[in-house]
Amino acid sequence: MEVTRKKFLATSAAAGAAIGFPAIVGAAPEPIRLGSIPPLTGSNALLGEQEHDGVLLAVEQINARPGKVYDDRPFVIVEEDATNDNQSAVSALNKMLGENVAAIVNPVLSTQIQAMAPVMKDQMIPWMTGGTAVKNTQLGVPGLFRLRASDAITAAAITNFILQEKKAKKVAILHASDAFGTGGAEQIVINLKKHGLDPIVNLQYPKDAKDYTAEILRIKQSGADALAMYVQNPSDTAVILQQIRSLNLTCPIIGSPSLANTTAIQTAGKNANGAYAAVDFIVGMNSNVATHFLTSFYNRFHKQPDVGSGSGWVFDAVGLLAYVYKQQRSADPKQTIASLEKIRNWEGVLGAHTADAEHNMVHTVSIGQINDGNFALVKTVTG
Amino acid sequence: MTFDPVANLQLLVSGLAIGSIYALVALGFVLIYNAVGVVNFAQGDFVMFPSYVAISFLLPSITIFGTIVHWQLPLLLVYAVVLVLMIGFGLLFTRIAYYPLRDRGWMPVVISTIGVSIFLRNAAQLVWGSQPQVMPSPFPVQTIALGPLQVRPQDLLIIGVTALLIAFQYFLFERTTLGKQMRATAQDRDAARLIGIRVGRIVTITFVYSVLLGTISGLLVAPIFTITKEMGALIALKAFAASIVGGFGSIPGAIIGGLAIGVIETFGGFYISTAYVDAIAFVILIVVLVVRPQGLFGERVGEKA
Amino acid sequence: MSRRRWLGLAVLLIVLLCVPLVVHSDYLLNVADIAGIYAIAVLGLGILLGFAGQLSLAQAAFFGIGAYASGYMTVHWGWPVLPSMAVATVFSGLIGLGLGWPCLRLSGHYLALATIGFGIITQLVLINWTSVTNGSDGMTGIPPPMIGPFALATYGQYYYLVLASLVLCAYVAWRIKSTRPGRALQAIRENELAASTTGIDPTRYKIVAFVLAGAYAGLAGALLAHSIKFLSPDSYSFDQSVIFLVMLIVGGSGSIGGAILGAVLLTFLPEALRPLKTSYIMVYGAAVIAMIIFMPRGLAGLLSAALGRDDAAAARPLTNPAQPVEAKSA
Repeated sequence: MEVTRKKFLATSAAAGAAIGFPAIVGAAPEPIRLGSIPPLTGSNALLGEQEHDGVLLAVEQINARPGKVYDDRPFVIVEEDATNDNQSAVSALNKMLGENVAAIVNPVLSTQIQAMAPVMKDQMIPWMTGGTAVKNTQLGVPGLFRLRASDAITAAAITNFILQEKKAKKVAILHASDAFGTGGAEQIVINLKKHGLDPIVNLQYPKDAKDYTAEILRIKQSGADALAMYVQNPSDTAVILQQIRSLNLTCPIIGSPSLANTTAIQTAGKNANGAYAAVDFIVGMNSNVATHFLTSFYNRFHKQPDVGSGSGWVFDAVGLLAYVYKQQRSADPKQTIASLEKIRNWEGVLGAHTADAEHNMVHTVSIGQINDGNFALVKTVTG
Repeated sequence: MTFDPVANLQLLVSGLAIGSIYALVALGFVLIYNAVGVVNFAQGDFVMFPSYVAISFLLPSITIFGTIVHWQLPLLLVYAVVLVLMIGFGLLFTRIAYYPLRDRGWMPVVISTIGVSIFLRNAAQLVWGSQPQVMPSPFPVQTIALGPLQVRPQDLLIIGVTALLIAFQYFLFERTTLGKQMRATAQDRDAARLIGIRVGRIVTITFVYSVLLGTISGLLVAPIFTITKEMGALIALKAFAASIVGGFGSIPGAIIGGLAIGVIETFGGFYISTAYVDAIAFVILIVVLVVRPQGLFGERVGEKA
Repeated sequence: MSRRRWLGLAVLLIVLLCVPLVVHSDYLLNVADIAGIYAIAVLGLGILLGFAGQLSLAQAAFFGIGAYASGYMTVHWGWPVLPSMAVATVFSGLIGLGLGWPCLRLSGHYLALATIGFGIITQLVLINWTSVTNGSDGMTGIPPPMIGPFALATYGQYYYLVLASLVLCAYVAWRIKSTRPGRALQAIRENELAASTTGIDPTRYKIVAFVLAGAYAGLAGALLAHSIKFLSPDSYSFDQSVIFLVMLIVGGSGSIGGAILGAVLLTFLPEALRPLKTSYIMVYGAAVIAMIIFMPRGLAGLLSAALGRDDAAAARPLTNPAQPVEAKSA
């Protein structure tokens, strides 16, 4: 091939321009600092691990795509440990606010969210949280968004399922003594009242209780025809299910998202079979996004992601932020908050995200049934 | 609430089972207390730690320090390995947490055992991660029907093994030389030394025996609880309360105290309130301390001049 | 105290007063506030354990009682914050009296156990008495203190409130220690029976120690409540009482400076070790064992020895407080 001088010069000029262009335009694209505050140590360390993994997976996938977030800007994770102490969580938040982050993902624990709220009230930074206590979005924090269905929606779904699908009249409630358990139980009571019913028995168990004979026998004695469970700890959940089976309590069981927690199901083994749970997401509800998430999570970490409360929603949080940043070609916090408020039907792992007036993004919950460690979709409810 | 005999029998069995665990842990406390005058705050973690060790060899695969390993061994070999490792741990514990402090009175040792407890719990998280572990049950069935009762076979195993251990304990202390030496040392160390008992060795043996009691408790209880780093915490506190209620320093007291608290808790949860179950043990404790501090079987508490 | 020592303290105080002027990081000021608050609680424990030799593991319970009392009065009754804090302090002290009275006859392990039981029951009450505490959901909307029209809203402003409280508490503790009641407490700690023969009524002094420990922890709890503006019962567990105890031991149980030093150090240390994430807690446990073996007088004792001081008021090593003799039956 003959290389004419003109061609050579043109090619060189083009090559030179290609090499020199970024240098002319500016330095390497500035990373976007994404804050994350999972509870890495303390009694919620398991949850923290899942949240850490979910954020990591999302960031890796986004940074691997062409253009990264936008204009080749990658995400960089700035992570602090929330521990399980309120003041330590607030310290972690303060530390993070001094580190120039564009947005914050986590926590999922409502008590930590409420402890951090007074500090976040004065910050116009997008705060993607996963706590389901109804009150979270009513604390007057301008940047707070909730990326999971609130207890109001979940409890309504559970109650309706019990009353309509299972045709139960005498509903027993068993719940953990922590904020999640009591809040959820309250919501179920409220929903039962809307149908003119009261729970036949409403029992609270202390955390780390090892024996549930008393509770289960009380439920049996009450003649309940359905049991609503608001549990928290996977290890407690497993013991409860085992004792329910061994004491022969046979009424249908419908539980909070944490009942479907992967660890809980694995630990409970056969004892979980037949139980229903209201969950964040499930294969079959949203086949593409959720399936992709489930397989890539497993391939990356060699363990199942949690469908209850851990890794799915944080994956969505990061994905949603990336989507907004790309649309506005900017990571400006205030602008991002305004854009998030306008989100309609963005598809995430947990389904369609649409912002309402109180900054709730997710309004659907799925009821599924557990069988041999697998979860089968029964019904999707929108609240 | 109507009186339902089946339900009450059910409660009794469950209560005795959990009470047996309290009794075994309380026994461990009391032995150490009798030998060296100190309460061991790490006794509950002596239940937790061997459970984790056992599970590492029982499961086909487990995550250690973040990597997956396959160390599965046959059941009997696992028990042997765990016993050997825990004896070693007991020796280490005596040497590090007790020995350097033995002449400094009880409080430094108590605080040292608190340090051991913190260390063990967090070491467990570091080594095995935060995932709760499930110990496979040695039984093929979940429940056994005894007449109208549905009973967990593991509960029966716990009650049975505890009874055997108590019998063994009695035999050891009343009929063997070693046992008598342990009793003599517990009663009066200086006098024991004077009659030629090697007190240091006896103290070490007492500690190791306590650790083994904890180990057996852990192996018994792990299949029905799940194994977490916190599993020993509340058990230890209640066993503590049980030993006071029974009479601190008294072996039969520890056993009866443990069983009593287990049963009262279970019935209390059913008849009174499930939410306040944990309080029951401690309310009983405070009442006993105020009304009769020596507990059911202890001797009168006096002041040292 | 010697003139040199007074001068040293004055310099320290001036340095502390200047901290918010120089340090602008909200994060560091927040941690400093928490350190000061913990120091007050640990100081209270120091009076009870360090001076009087009574091992109480209920300090977290009073921490919670003070916090919720002040929170409740300000949120539900609309009281102004500073008077609420004062009332909460007194209230906690009275509860301390309620705990101390029945425990008078107990000592050693029995006392420790009774206090553990009290602590657990208190936490259960905080969780379950929902009409007052709002239970596990927690109490939100706790207001910051107002001085006239000004709210102490920033960490820097709050710092001065905490510092003033700490100085007051330290002063009270010092007065007790260096006067008759303090010596009486120390005599009781060493040998209660002997002390009673010299005309000291151990009962009265032990009660005072319990009341003060409760009051100090209550004040600390109230201060924390109005700083974070949110309360939840899971912070007031037995584990928290253990943390207070460890702070006291590490700092040096017999001295005021020791209690404060231990609290400050063990509040800043976990923050400094944040990059280590999970490994640091294990180090923590190992450090406790090492400290009690090698540094029985705590850091204060170490510093004291290094400075060559040997006055009777210096940190005393943790030895064997009066304990009951039980005839043991095998």
